[in-house]
Parts: sequence; structure tokens; C-alpha cells
Amino acid sequence: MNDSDLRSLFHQLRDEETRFPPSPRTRGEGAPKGRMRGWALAIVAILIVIVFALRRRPEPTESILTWKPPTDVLLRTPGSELLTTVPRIPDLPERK
Amino acid sequence: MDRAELECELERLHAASFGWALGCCGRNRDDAEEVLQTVYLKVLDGKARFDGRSSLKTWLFAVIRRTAMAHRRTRWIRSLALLRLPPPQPPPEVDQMETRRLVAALRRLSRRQREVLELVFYHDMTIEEAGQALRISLGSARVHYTRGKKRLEALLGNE
Repeated sequence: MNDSDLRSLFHQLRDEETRFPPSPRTRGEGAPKGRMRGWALAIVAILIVIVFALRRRPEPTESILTWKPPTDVLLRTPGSELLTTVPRIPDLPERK
Repeated sequence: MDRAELECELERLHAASFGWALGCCGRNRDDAEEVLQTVYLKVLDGKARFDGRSSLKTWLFAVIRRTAMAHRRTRWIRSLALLRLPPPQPPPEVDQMETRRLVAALRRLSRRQREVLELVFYHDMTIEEAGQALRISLGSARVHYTRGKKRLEALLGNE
């Protein structure tokens, strides 16, 4: 088989395959199916993320000024009130 | 080159582009159509720009080849992700015995050899143009051409 035989065989194949090519959709009226599907999936995923983000809002936190630790009770010891109060000096009797 | 001119050129080259897309997609018409549509959108949206360093046909064929490779990778990854094999491809739509033998023989060549031979014999490009379309050197294109042709002749002669 020489070059011209090979070429004519390839041309025969070309004629068969490209005799009825699909119409060229060059005006962008139809994006490929795969790409459309990809966009649709991406949009759905974004919507799901937004819905979850809105639903799982963090609970409002207590102000640091009013917050008390739950272990505060452990710091209370017997007689601790003596440390936090000023002892009262009894009144002196009046001199006559 | 403005958009109207580009559209005109794409329409002129459409049959040849479809033939090349078929070659790049293992002669699967659906895949070739999808690849070609993606290429047209790329070109018309300006994502692929013709710089005038080669002929428009050579450049367009290079874009088609790259897009077909990306398409094949995407399909492969998708088939892995879905844990299923791609559906079996229908036999090529060729009626005549000779061309069927040619397609079968082409499938047994390496990808580069098949591409160079298709560009030279199917699309009537020179070996240099084929090298440009495949983004390989002229020397490399010559080697693939010579080895591929020898193998193809042997395969067609034996069958």
C-alpha cells in the first residue's frame, strides 16, 4: 500500500464521517449539556450552604459583665465573709 | 479578526473540525459534538485567542485536541466518582469494509502516531502543520509519521 492508496482510504473515511456533520451551533444558543449540569449542581450546592448557614445561627452570647463561672461556688470557704467585710468597732462609753 | 469573521471561518472549517474532533474522541459522535461546541464557545468568548502564529485551521485543531483531552479526563473522573464504567461505545458508523479496517488499524497505533497520520492523510496537512497542531517539534512529528505509517501499512496488509 503506497501513500496515495493510504490517502484515498483516509479520504473515503473522511467523506463518510463528515458527510452529515452536526449543524454548527456557533451562536452560543446551547451550552454543552455537561457544563449546564455542572452549573446547575453548583447553584444547588450554594443554595444548600446558604440555607444551612441561615438556619444554624449562633446563639446570642451572655455579656461578660453578667457572666458568672459555674465553679464560683468552690471559692466560698467558711469564714470568708471576714475577708470581705470591715469589722465594726463597738461604741466607746462616754466619759463623764 | 472580529467576531463575524471568526464565525464565518468556523463555519467554513466546520466539517473538517468535526472530522478532527471525531478522531480525538475515539470516533464517538456525541463526544465530538460536545467537544466542538465547547471549542466554539471558547473561541467566540475569547477564552482561546488566535495569535496568528500559525494558520487558523492549525490553531483550531490544537484547541480541539486540548479540549477533547480535557473532556476525556472529566469523563474518566466522573466515571470513577460514580463508581461505574463508561457505557460501551457503539461501533463506528462506517458502512464500508475498507474504512472499518482502517479505523480498527488506527486504534492499534499510539495516540501520537494516529494523530499525525490523521492530520496528514485525513486533513491533508503537511507534517510541519501537523506538528504545530499537536504542539510538537517537526522532528518529533516526522518520527511519529514514519513509524505510524509503517505500522499502519503492516496492519492493513496483514488483515
